[in-house]
Amino acid sequence: MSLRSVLARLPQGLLLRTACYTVLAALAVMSYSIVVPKPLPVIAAMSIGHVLCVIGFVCFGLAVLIEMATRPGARGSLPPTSKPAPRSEPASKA
Amino acid sequence: MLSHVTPVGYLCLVAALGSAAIVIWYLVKKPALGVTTKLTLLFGVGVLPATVAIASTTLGMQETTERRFCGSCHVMQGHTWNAEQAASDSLAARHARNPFFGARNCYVCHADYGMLGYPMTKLNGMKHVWHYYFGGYKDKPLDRAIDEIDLYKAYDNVNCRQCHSGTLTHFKSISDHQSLEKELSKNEVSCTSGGCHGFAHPFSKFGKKAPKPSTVKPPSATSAAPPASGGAP
Repeated sequence: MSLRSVLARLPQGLLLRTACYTVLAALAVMSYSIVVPKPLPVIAAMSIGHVLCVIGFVCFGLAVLIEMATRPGARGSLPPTSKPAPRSEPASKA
Repeated sequence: MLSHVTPVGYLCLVAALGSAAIVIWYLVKKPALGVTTKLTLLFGVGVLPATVAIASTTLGMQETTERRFCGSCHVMQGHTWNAEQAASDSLAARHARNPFFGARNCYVCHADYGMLGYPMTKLNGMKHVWHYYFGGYKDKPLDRAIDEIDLYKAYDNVNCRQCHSGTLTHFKSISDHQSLEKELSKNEVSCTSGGCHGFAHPFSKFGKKAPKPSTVKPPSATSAAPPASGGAP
């Protein structure tokens, strides 16, 4: 199984949403440590905040890689994982 | 509430707001993942959060050297309160009035020095936090905390010698310095011991290694506590 096919199986939309939510959480933790610089907020910013930041960025990077791997016209590209939109033609023709 | 925030802190908050705006825009609008969207998200999820992470870490590390940070745990409020009293003659208060120490006097005197001094100091700081939240310090009243909490190891004379080098003629001319030279260099006698230039704080080590002063005033008191011993000769 190639890396490209593995990437193609990952849910791109979910990864992007995860990236957004984890980055928002990280920003909240790190900003709070600036406004309230007490031991627990500062430690949380330097640990939880950084981990969430990295997770968010990795999810974003994976989503971009998926987009590149499944883009039509990309060398050796695979079909996108999302289902194609249903056709609007009436089924009664058959 | 934001009076302590530095210009870098404000820049950090602005970067965080910018990043949050981009992320929320993406979540609400759900645009197609074109080149523009990818570049915008790169800023919102990568560049700006990285800036916030670096700046908040720098500011956090800086903040951990401030006296107000040490005093944010109630068990240290006696020490920080005394250091802030203009009328106090304790070793800590006199050093705190020196601009070189200033509001960072706890850190300057208690940091480890040398190649690994900074990370070791921070690791010890983590130990403080652990003891505070999980070692029972949090529930100790101030009087008990001052009685029961000690330094992890004897105060190192090397810290005093960061400024007081001990090489000047005046230093060497004092008979106690001459007679105790080896002990001082081996840390067997502390510069901050009762008979020398200490104790550093009015209530240092009382109940165990030194006579207990009559009272420890709470941090809310307005006047300075009397020093436990005389200052430097």
